[in-house]
Amino acid sequence: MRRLNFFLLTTFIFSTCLLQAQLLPVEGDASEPVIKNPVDIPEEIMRKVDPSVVSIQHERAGGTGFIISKDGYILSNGHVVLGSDPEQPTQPAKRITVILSDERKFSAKVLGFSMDPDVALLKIDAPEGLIPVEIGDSRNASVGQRSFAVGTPVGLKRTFTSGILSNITRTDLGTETVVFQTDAAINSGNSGGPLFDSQGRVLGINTYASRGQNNLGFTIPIHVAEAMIEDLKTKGRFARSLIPLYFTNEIYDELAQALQIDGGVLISYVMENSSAEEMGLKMGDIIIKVDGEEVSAHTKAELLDFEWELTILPAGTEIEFTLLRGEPGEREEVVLSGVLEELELMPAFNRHVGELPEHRYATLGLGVEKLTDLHHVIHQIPSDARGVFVKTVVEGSVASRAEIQPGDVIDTIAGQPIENIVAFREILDSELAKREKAIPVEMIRGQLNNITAMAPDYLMHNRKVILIVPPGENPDLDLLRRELLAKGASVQIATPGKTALSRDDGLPELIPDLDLSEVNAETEADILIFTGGEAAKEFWDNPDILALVKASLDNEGQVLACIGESTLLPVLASDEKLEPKITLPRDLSGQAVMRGASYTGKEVESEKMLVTTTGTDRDVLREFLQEVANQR
Amino acid sequence: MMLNTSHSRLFFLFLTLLLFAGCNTPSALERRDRKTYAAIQRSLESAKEAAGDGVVFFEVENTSNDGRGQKTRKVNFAGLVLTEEGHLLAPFNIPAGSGTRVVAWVGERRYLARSVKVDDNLGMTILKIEPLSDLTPISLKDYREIEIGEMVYTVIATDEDREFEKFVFQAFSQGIVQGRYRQYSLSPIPDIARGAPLYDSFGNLTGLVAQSNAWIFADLAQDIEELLARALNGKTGADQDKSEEGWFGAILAPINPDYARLADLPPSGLWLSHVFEDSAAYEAGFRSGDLLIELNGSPMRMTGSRAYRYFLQTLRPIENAPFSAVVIRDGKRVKGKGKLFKRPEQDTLLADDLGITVSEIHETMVIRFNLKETEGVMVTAVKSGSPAATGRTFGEPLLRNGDVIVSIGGVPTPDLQSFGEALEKIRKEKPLVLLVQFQRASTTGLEALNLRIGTEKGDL
Repeated sequence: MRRLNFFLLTTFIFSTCLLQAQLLPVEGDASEPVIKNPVDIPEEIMRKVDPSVVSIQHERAGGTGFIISKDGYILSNGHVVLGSDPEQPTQPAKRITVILSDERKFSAKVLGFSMDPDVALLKIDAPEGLIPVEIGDSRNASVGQRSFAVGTPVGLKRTFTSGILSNITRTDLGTETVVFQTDAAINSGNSGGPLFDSQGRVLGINTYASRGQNNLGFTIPIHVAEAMIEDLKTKGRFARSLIPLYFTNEIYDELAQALQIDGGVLISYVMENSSAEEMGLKMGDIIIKVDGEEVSAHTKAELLDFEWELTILPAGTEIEFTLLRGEPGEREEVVLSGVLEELELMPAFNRHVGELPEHRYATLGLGVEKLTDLHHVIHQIPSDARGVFVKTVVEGSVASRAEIQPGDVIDTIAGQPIENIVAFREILDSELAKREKAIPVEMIRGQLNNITAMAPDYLMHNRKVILIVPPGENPDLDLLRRELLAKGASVQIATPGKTALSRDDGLPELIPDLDLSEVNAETEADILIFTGGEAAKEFWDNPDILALVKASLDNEGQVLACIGESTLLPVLASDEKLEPKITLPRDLSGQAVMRGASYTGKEVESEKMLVTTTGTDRDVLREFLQEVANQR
Repeated sequence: MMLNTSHSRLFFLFLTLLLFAGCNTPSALERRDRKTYAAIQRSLESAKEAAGDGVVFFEVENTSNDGRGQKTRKVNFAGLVLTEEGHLLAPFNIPAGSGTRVVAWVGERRYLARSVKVDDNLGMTILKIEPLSDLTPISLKDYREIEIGEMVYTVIATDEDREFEKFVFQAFSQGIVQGRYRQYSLSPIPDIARGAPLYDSFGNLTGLVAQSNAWIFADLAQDIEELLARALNGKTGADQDKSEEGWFGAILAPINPDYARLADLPPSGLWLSHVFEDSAAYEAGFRSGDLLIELNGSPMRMTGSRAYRYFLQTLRPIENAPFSAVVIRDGKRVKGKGKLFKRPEQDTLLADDLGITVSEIHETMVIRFNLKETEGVMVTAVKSGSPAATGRTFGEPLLRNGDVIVSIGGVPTPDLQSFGEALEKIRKEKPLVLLVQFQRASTTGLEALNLRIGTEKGDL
């Protein structure tokens, strides 16, 4: 009986389909009837778009992207290429591979990215044969329009899903621009992939789906991404323009009635002592024209569009606002001019992950970032407060014992005013170098001032460290130095010829304590640390350096520690097979193995007073330092 | 009865052994044991005698509804009879009207008890029963400080099998836990002993059983007497407790011990981070930035949040409570004394047509909520479905808790009275929309409320 029912049902469905197919228009040559369903994506469209869509993989995860030029520019999402460095919220992943539709693989470089709007620009150096996508007209997209997505959902390459544009003015997700909504299935891994219109033209970059819901996918309109490409290419980030700092409101129905006005954009907040205040903007003003063109925002989507058009103008552009000011019935027209400025890097708030680099002293459990105008607004910091903003306090750390809290503004250390990050770093480093038992810290919390003291543990207080640094830029140097100082070690820096070393932005050059030629087997030191970097390769065939390394290996009372490119030094310095186990960056491991060294492939390895690390990221370097400190 | 069969058997065995031992000539060791045993028995008797009928047994039922049905939690503990009229001391905070049902067993009688006075700092409550005859209060006068290692005896009342009998427990004091109310540790004692009195070998009151520790009674005696006096004189109940709250009028922050060492200051001080100008602290001569190091004649004790707790327990913040303190200002000791003020209360107003409750702003709120000034009225509640709650975006109301309204319908509202007047004007004029200007955190805002929303007929 059940079987019969199934048969009847199948027949019914089949005959219904047949009936529908017969009623539908027929495409192609009349002599070769091809029954086409309008929900199908035509084969030529599939063939057109398929080669342009790529998979992106890196050490953390991956996603999708699409080629936008024959010379290898690729668009994707910011969150697809984001690295894992907690102190650099805009640090891309390190080893990114792009896989083309024909399975060819290329190393890719992230030229720039932004987390909101969620857009990344990558570049591959590929031979000829790249096929870019055709860009569609997302400004004139309409709800109900057919669309389809191509991507790598959950790692399943070249997955096509289709639907319609469900909404084109989505604003309630807290994003900086409107986003499109589609019911084409978007899953994790689709991120960064294109959403096409029925003709295979890109409407947007798929960015995320609503978890746990069905068919709620979101897409960054392609016109938004297009406006960012030049900045990402030339500046490595999306530079927003604005007159800092005022906020606007759309004039919704009730507001229009209450203000007795038909349109415009309401200014709801003007920051004190800001360029916007200087320009003459006032809370309650209604912007009706920008550069003579009428503007109005009745809905949130219109407001975001209005703001976006100003945001993407180049900094330095002069703009003219025509405003209505005063009570209803007595309003006068005011024309004001201002110059757009480039918005400083943003702190994290709401859904923004932030763009400001954090300066973290992991040994103290304290991380700070630059105090910006937006911090004052977001965290209600008094407008005259100066200092650095506390971003991280690790529980149980020196900073937490001093009752410093995230959100505090540190304005004085050891009695000296902290105007900015540079002053913070210099003063704190100098107090740490003196191994002060307790370092007084003053901070602003809300409207109150607090005074406390950090009492570092200085677990390496009796250890003398020589940091041996190759010439040129060394991104790890600052981190190594500050963490060693915070651990209480006495740190000396040696470079060939005692050449000065450049440091992080704004910090003065570091003058080394020693010329590397002065350092030899007789030099008193508990720990020798060789830093990495491309320039460290010059050490490989330097007989003096190899002799120093050899002496250190033979000296049971001295710790030898090597980072990145320097990890090959102990292998090269040993006459025989190197006994203690080591680790190396992957590309050096071959050379080590050939010479018979025991290579473990870990991030940090330590045995018999020899500590080596790949030096991949800050966390690895900190683990390495801890291991160095543990050696006795 | 608490003694169960196995206890009785052991006891019987013990007696048998004693009798058996008695048949022979006792050794010196046995003689000493017997002496110890007799001394313990005497101590137990004196504890029982001192407690008299002054120990009660409480059954506390707490009923709560978590949305999935009612849940009842039962706990038992001990307490003291304080007056002949039926005032009892319970070692818990039992606020009036909290849905807690307390039954007190006094002797073999069972009474329903009501909460009359709670002391949050002491963590105790005065309960009242209506006894059929006069009760015998426990003596709070004959107390003595315990020494470490001394043996103590507790007297617990039980209700087992409804055969009421006092049960005496013996414990060792094992050292002192420091605090405003000092505590000593005890060897294991049953949970239901909480609140029971502890006596020394001579029947002197030494403490009350806390959780696995004991409060030193000498620290509590005066506070319990004061609490009883407050329960006997004046109104009682939760509202009264609140209106009696005393106010020192300063924002306190414990000094960081590392900083104290560095700056050569006492490690147990409290910074007066902010002293409000209309406060008792200000009147006593204290100013923002002072470091409080002595309170009511004793140096401050402990660090961190415990120092703050010590401050509250020592100050006993009841209106008019006298206090004296010493602060350090610019390296010099400054003394001051006074009486606590009544905690400032803010008047509130329900603006039902807008769907908000607003409160006037006291200087304390300026610091607490990091406001710019006291001008304006603060939104303290937003009624769902009201004009204020219905936002442009789903789930995001136009007005939020903490917003400070500075004008409505174009009329400035610097205080609650002007807000009320502006509201009256609106009620007369019945506009369809209302422009509200407010301060939200550091920013300003302007929104228009649709006053037709939330009204039953859709119009006013």
